Parts: sequence; structure tokens; C-alpha cells
Amino acid sequence: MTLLQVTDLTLDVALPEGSGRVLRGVDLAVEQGGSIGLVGESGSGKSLTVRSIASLLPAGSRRGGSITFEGDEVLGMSPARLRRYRSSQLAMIFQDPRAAINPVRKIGDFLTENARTNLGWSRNRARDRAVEVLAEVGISDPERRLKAYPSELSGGLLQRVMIASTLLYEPQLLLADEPTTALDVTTQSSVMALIDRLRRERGMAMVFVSHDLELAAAVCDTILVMYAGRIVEQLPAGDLYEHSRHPYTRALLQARPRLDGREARLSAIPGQPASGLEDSTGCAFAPRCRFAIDQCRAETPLVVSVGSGGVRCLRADEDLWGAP
Amino acid sequence: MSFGQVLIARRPRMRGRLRHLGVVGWLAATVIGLFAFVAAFGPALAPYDPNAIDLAYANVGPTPGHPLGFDELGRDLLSRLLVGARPSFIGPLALVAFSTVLGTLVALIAAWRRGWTDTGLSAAVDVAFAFPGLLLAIVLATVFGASLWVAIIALTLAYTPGMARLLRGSAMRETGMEYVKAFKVLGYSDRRILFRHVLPNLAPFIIAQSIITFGYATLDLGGLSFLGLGLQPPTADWGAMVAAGSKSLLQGYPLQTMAAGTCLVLAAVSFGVLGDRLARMWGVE
Amino acid sequence: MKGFLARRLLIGAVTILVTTFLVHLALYVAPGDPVSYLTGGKPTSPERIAALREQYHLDEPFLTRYFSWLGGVVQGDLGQSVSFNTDVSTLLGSRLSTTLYLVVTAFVVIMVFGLSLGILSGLRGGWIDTATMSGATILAALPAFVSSYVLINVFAINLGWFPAIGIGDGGFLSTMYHLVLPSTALALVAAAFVARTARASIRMELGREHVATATVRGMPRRLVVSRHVVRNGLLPILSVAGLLLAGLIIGTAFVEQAFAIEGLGSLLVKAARQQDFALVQAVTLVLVVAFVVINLVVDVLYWFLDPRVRTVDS
Repeated sequence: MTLLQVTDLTLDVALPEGSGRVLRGVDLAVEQGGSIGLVGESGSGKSLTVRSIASLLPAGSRRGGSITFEGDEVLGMSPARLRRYRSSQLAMIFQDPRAAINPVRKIGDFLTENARTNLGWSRNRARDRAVEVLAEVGISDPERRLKAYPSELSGGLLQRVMIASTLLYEPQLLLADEPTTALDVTTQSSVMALIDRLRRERGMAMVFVSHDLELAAAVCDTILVMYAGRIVEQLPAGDLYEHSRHPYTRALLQARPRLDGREARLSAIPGQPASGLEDSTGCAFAPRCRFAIDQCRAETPLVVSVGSGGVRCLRADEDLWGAP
Repeated sequence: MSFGQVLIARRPRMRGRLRHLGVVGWLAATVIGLFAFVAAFGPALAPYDPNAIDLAYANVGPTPGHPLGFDELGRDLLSRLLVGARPSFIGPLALVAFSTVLGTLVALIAAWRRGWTDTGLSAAVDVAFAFPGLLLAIVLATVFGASLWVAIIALTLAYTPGMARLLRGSAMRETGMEYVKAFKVLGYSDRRILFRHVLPNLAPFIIAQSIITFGYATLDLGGLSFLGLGLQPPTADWGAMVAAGSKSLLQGYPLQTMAAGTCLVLAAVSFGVLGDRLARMWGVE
Repeated sequence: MKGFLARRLLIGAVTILVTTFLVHLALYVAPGDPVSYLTGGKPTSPERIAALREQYHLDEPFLTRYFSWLGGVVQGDLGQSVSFNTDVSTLLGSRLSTTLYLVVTAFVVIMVFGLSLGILSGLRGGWIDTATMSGATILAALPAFVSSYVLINVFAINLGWFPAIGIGDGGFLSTMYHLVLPSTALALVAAAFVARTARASIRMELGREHVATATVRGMPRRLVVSRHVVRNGLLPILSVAGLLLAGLIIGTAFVEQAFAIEGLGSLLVKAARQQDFALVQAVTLVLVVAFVVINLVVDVLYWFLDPRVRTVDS
């Protein structure tokens, strides 16, 4: 059953010089308990997409298209419905736990705030549950930690606290906006493993935002690649390495250094990543694409179904890569 | 980067888009220009002797030939305002000049030597910065007697730490630049690098800040004059005139106080606005 | 906490000592004979001069004089004022409370108007924001010695709503009534500054991630605002509160002069003009002690309100 459906989402943000379109018709769907990875570089719009799902839009922005959760249109929800959506059905983890957790309030307050205000729990019930979830995410001495301030904890520990805050109730959808980017590599893998395990145990659906293609493929069922405010490729995670067809996706895959030392030189994608703001006619990736033809610059490609996914490329049917 | 590029890349332009000054900026510049002009030629412009007392005309309002009327001793108010512009301009000018030079020196030394010199100077500056300038002016006036120069010196001592703090950031950035290292390797003397290259690059920021400081200086020195701790009577001075007119104001003749006060505030605001616009225009906020 | 407090107290004590030492030094290096400062330049009998030299230890080395003075201060003896011909301590007495009232009232005005308007501007934007910021820009440029007279002229002379000078005849209500205009004049520049700072701080907090976290959890807007935006946004204001109060205390010199109020500020100015050194020394001491105490209180408050400071300290 489809839990979340985003259809043709567009977003215009307010800029000093007027407004700019940063999301250009994003489509995605998440099943109950399913997980999709939203991958792209800076400026691709992946963070904004996920924030739109939470109805967390920047001031002065205009959106079009539709986002439905359990059939209800998110962008038109009444305040009471929105509150229920956010406080008990949705959970969001942010990239930098130090910025996302109020530094002048205790960890315990952070954890129990939602439950006590929105779900009506008593102080004791909330506190006991907070201790439980802290233990669940592997934090030792949870009672003492409740009284600590964020500045007393390390980044990895704080991220676990943020994850724990999503476990107090039973959200159906988890939005994770680059949850491990701000952490060092060893902490990254343990935190990621934690998120993956908890999600599966609870049957939570997840939209996982990252710039790390490999990481997303490891924890998600479906991968969506974003570029310049659009989805350019969608495919099952298992098909990523062998069957991806969009030049951008392949370039991202090829740009990763290999540990077996078989490469003499790292291949990089020439040029700078484009944001939705800079878009004009034609495919946004064309300036950097080695397979671009004149038609690519003239018309914006539509999505072509390929296998169990889709590709936004005019040359999707062609075999551009030689042997699969 | 080639060496030539390093050199060429370093001269920030003090020209900018003049429209960034805006209407307000140009207005401010005009007011300041007028101020400077009157400061220079005040005594010549004054229609009457600013010190000519005539008690028969005490506090008389505007009359033909005397557009601003008279002060509490029957002296022509307009003449006194015109003549009073000079000390009200020269004072802050000296104050800003001294504190800028000293502050820049301190900032440059700290930024050049870094390490302990910087730590020590920064600590000293922080401590000195916390001490209110007015208090210092009062103590010095007590000891040396009240006069405009005592006030200027006291406020210079108070302003310098502030200036040094303000400039330290930019000085640190500038002295950390590649071209400075390049010049050192080339064997240029410290003095040459600092005064012929670093300083001119910092000039836009320093100048903009000095102009902004001029505004504060005008009010601070005006305030000291008001308290009787600046220029001593009977010389006309705007701050002192605000005080002199106070009794008259209580009796219903506010013109002297208001006119002198307006001149001070107008001048101060103009400096603040101009300095701010210049900073924006030169991109050195 | 104890270490923090001890350190701050030490710094405070050192500041007081250093300042008074420097002030003493100023007299020592002053041109002319110290006696003339003490006699106020009036003709005095040789016996009186000798007595003064004895009392102020003028024939002894500098350090001895300084410590004698310090010793006297601790015992409550602040010396003699030549211009008023009385004990300094007597002079300070009532004036201290007057200035205290003035400063506290001004502080209240700043916080009530400046702070609330600043917060509202930051939260709401729109016309409140434009109006407040324009007002703040204008008021920030009006120094106390000019705004005092504007207020007197408009509200006392022309409208007659408030008294123009003095402090009334002692009753609390009368004093407060007389202090309305002076405290407003004193508060204006600082209120403008606080309004702008508060607005900037609130706006910055609104954009912070932890506010987004609270919002995305479905917290009601007013709770998000009070607990996360305002609570955090007020911290920068607190950190400048010390400087603000110091500025107010100094500003009393101007306002008391304009409104003919007998307070510490006007006393200091009178003493300076008459080169009454003992008096200047004593008032400076009081002011410096006040600054140190204020800064100490602000630091302690900040320690309580911002846990990040505690982690850095330990």
C-alpha cells in the first residue's frame, strides 16, 4: 500500500532578485515499510524535497504539485491534522545533531518534549520511555544522560539521541536528511547500521537523503537520483551497479575511487553541479554529459520506463555503455 | 598563480559604483561638505561678532537681520553657530586621526608578529576597551584642568583599543595572504611590505571605519563640552551652546539649545551614514 | 561553578585595584603641587596646609599614600571634599540612591520597550518591523544630552505633563513622577540598540535547525517561539547587558545635568570641573565597583542560562 505519494512537486523560493524554481516536478512514492534513497549533489533539491514532505517550507516559497500521506494532501492539511501528522506519524532526523538539538535545554527535555506536549503523556511516562529508547540505541547510563546538555555529548552520541527521539512513539515514515554526513567514518557505519536495524524492526518506511550513492544503495530498496531539481533516474537498489542508464548516475558510480588500486586516475565529472535555479531549456545535465547531442540541449527529456525503474534521458534506449 | 597575478590581484579598487551611495549617501556627503566648509570659514562667514554681548537682546527670537535670534547674553546665535562649527569639527578630526593611527599601528603589530605579541596586545586591548572613555576624560580633566585638548587626549586613549579591535580582523586576514609571503621570500623589508602593500589594501576599510567613528567622536566631544569638560567659554562650541541655552529653554526660549543640538546630531548622523555607504560601496563591511 | 565564581571575583578585585591605582597615579604625575588640588586653589593658612599634607600623606612615597587611602576606604573614610567642605561619604549618601533609581528605571524602560519591540519585530516582520527599526535608527543617533532637552521642551514646557527639573520632595511616587522624563532620555539610545540586537538575534534563531526540529515534530507555534526561539535569542542580549548598564551609569552624568538632579553623575562632573580630586577619586571608586559587580552578576547569570559556557569552563 502506498504510504507517501509525491506527484509533480514544484517549489519556487523567494530570492533577493525575485523567485527561483528549485524543484521541478519531482515524483516519488513510498510503500508501507519501504525505503527509498534520494541521492544527489548539493543543489539537487533532495533536502528541500524531504522538507516539503514534512511541510517545512522556507518562508515566502510557493509550491505546486501534490504530496499525499495515507491519501491526505500534506500541503493542504488543517493545523490539527498537520500536528497529528508531524507528531505521531512522521519522524525526521537532521544532518547535524548539534544544530538540530536546542543547546540550552537538557537531552531529557528534547526527548520528551513531543510526547508530553502533543501526545499528552505524563512526565513520568515520557521519562521512562526516554530511558528505554536511549538504551535501545545503545547509549549507556541513560538516566544520567537525560540530565545532560548537548554540549556534553559527542556528535555520534547526539545523533543516536536524535534517532532515539523518533522511537518514543510509532511513526510510520522516517525522513533522514543525511544523518551520517556530519559524523566521522567509523561512527557513520555504526549509526547507519542502527538506523537500518530499527527501521526494519519497526516496519517504518524511510526516505533517506544522501550524497553517498553506495550508502543509500546499501540501506534502501529503491534509489532515486536527483539532479538540478528533478529526478533523473529511479531503479531498484540491486540494479544500481549493473543496470543504471542515466549518464549522471553512471558518472557518479565511476567517480568513486576503487580500493583495489586498478585505476591510474580518478574520473571526475567535469563542471559544477547545477541547481534547479539555473535551469533553462533542455536537459540540465547536458553541459557536463559526454553523450549529449544537440537534441539534449533543445528539449527537456521526459521519463522513460526502463525495466522496473525510469530514466530521464533522451538516449535511454540506446546502449551507451557497451556491454552491461 | 603566477607572481604577476599575485601582485595584480591585490589592489582593491576604491572606486565602486557611485550609485551605491544612494540619495541618502549623497545627502550625507553634502552635509559633511557644508560642515567642513563652515568649519574652515566660519569666522569669516559670521555676520556679527560672536562674542559681542548685549544683554538688552537676551533670548530675543529671530528678527530681520538675525535669522536665529540671540543667545542668553544677547549674542547673535547664527554667528555663534557658524563660528562654533570649527572646534566641533577640528576636535573630532584630531580624535579620529590619532585613534586611527594608533589603532592601526597596534592592529598591524599584532597581525604581523602574531603569537605572544598578538595575545598580549589583544588582552591589553580587551581590558582597556572595557573602561568607559567618559570616566577617563573626567579623571584627566580633574588632574590637568578641563580643556579641549585634554578631552581629545582622553578620548583618544579610549577610542584606540576599539579601533585596534576593529582592525585586527582585517589586518590578520591581509597579513596572512599569499602575496605577503611572496614578498618576504623576495627579501622585502617588513616596513616596505606593511606600508607600501598591506596598508593600502586595508585603506578602504580603515577609511570607512574612521568616517563612522567621526560621527561618534562628534557626539562624545560635544557631550564633554556640554558638561563643561571640553572647550571652555566664551569660545563658541556647539556642545557648550546646548548647555548654555538650557536655562533659556526652561524659560521658554529653546532656540539656542535646539539649534546647537540639531547641528551636532545632523553632523553625527551624516558621518555615520556616509561611512556606512562607503563601506558598502567598497565592499568592506 | 565555584572555580568560575572565584576566578571572576579575582578578576573583579584586580580590576578595582588597578583602576584606583591608576587614578591615584594620575594625581601623582599631575603638574603642579598636589596641595593646590586639595585646597581648591583657595588661600590657606600654613597650619592648614601642613595638616593637609599630613592627612593625605603628601610627604610620603606614592605607594604608602595609595595604601593609606585604600585602608581608609575599607574603613569607610573616603576623604574630604574641598569644594563642598564635607566628608565625601556624606555627599555620596543620598545621591547614590537617586542615581540608582534613575538607572534602574531606565533599565526597565529599555527592557520593556526595547526588548519587546525588538522581539516582536523579529517574529512578526511587516509594519511593526519597519516602524520599530526606523524608530530605532533615528533614536540611536540622539545622544542623551540632546534628547533630554527635546523631552523637556515638548513634555514639560509645552505640554506640561511632567516636571522639567529636580527629583521631587522625597516621596516614592513623587520621585518616580519626576524620573519619567530623565529615565526616558537616558534609555533612548540603549533601547534602540537593544531593539535592533533583539530583532537580529530572533531572526537568526528562527532560521536555526533546532527550531525546524521542534516544528517538524508538530510543536505548537507559540511553544516553538517561547521555548526555542525567544529563550535562545535572548542570550546575546544578556551578554551585552553589562556594557549596557555601564553605559547607563555613565549617561547619568548628562541626564542629571540637564534635569538638575542631584545624583552621582552630576556630582562627578561638578567635582571634575572644580578639580576636587578626593571627590573624583571616591566617585570613580563607586562606579568601578558598580561595573565590576554588574559584570559579575551578568557572568553568573549567563553561566546559569547557557550550558555551553559550563562545558567550556570545565
